[in-house]
Amino acid sequence: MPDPVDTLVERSATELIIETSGLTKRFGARTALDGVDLRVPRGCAFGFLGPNGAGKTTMIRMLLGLTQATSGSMRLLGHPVPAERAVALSRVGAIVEEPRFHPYLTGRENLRVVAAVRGPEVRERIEPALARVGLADRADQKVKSYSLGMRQRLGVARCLLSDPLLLILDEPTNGLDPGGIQEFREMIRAMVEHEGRTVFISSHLLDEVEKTCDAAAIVDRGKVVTQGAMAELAGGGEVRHELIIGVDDVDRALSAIDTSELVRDAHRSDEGLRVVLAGGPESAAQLNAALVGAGVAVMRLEPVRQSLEARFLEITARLDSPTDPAEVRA
Amino acid sequence: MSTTIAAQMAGADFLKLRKKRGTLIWALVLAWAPVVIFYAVTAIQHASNPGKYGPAGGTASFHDGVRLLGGLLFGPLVAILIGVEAGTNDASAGVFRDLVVTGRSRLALFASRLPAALALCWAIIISAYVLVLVGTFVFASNLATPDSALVLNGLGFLLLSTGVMCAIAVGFASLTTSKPAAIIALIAWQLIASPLIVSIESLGSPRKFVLSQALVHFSPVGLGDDGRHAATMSGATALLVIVLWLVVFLGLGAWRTRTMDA
Repeated sequence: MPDPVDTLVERSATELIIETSGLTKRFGARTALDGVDLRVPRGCAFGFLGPNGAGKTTMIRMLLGLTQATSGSMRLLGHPVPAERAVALSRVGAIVEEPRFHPYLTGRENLRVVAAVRGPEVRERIEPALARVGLADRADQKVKSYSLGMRQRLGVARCLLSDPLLLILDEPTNGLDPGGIQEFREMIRAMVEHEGRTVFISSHLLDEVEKTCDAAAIVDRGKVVTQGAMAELAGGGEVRHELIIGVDDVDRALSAIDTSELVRDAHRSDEGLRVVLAGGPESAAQLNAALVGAGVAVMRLEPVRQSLEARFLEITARLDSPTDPAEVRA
Repeated sequence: MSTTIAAQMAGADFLKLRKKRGTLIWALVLAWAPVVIFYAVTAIQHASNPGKYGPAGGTASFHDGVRLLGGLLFGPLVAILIGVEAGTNDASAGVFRDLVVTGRSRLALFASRLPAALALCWAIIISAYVLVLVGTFVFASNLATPDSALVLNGLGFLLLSTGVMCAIAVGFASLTTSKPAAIIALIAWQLIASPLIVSIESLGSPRKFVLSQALVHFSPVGLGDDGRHAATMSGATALLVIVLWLVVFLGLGAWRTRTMDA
């Protein structure tokens, strides 16, 4: 079976925007990241998913040069870091942990401070960035009067000053209300789909990553345990097209599709039938025609959404379970 | 890094400092209030009893004004407040990491703090010096007033003593990254430890390495205890001591800024 990440990379037909190899970070005796090989393709929203304390923020801090790696190598936008860190970061925008600002300065002044550090041409991007995040009319208020949602948006505006090819956002929806989360999600999708940026989101919120991202890596206890496109991740590296079919006569339906080449597996369920297709999702229509042709009334035909949560729990449960036979016996 | 970017960065640091209202107000109060109070009190005394109290202005009061500002008391306090604010500002607001992730070198981020701090510190000190000159000339009556050379020397000394202290405060605050700790340590050194060490004559020539002693060497007016306890040194030695202090503290600040986890 092909490596899901390789498949994803081939599909994106571009180079990797983040690539790490054997990345390790130790704090004394504690290993925060252990030999991480991460590959993030360009032009997608990529989730870096893991429970609190899994090493997500440490990973981001190393990518951005905020702390040094103990061993391993990293490439950002194709540039080795930390050797070519300045070049790489010139087109990266990042929010690490919560967005922080000088509270006594206005939103616009805070952006001016960062624009001054980035370069003379960046100052022209302040107004468009403020407008892009919907803060143009509040930009002259002091940041200490901003809500958390406004600070998050100002953080994104600060990221946009670099006209970033890559945005790195660490737990971006923390503390946001449902409306704010929805707004944030739409903004990220627009950046990916309409502006061609890559967004790397670290989060412990499965649902958030599943709704926002095209691909993800699951990290736990300092190790990347799996990574790939979202559908592949949810299906355990295998893309399954499963249907729930509501029919008037389950037995007749089962006998009608029993020998069909369209079906890999079929069984009775509370909803009627559960069918795993042998081919892609387009074969659902053929299956429907076959059932109708056999005199079965089809009342419902619904694709089953593979849940990333189920996959995540499966992976973390596997890591929790003892593998040492002696440990099992104990 | 181009000079344009360096100037922009220093400008941004200056913006952060001048908008920090609490620090700015305290710095202005420390610079202006002693001068205003000094001339107001002496003018009132002279007006109420001219026979006992001389005019508030003139060369003698100019000396007193320079002592107040540059005499290792209020001027250095202003410099410490502003220097420490410049050194800790980004780290204490949690913004330092956001500046680091721009890719700009940490040394450049450190270096931009110094001109911004000096610009604000000197602007305040010069404004207070103008008050001294106003008091000196307006209230001089029939007394002699300082000539232009003395006025320029006084200004030069104030800029030197406060500039050096401000730079050291930037370096030390960048090293500690704690505003309260840096302010307490520097004020304690300036107001307590430094005069104490200088007063212990048995310490001999090592007292030359106390910064205030090196700075006093360049003062156009008599400072402190009229030299009773001062360690004598040549101009070159004084300059060397000042440079040594600057190199050590700016070096430590730069090292810490370059190596700390952001």
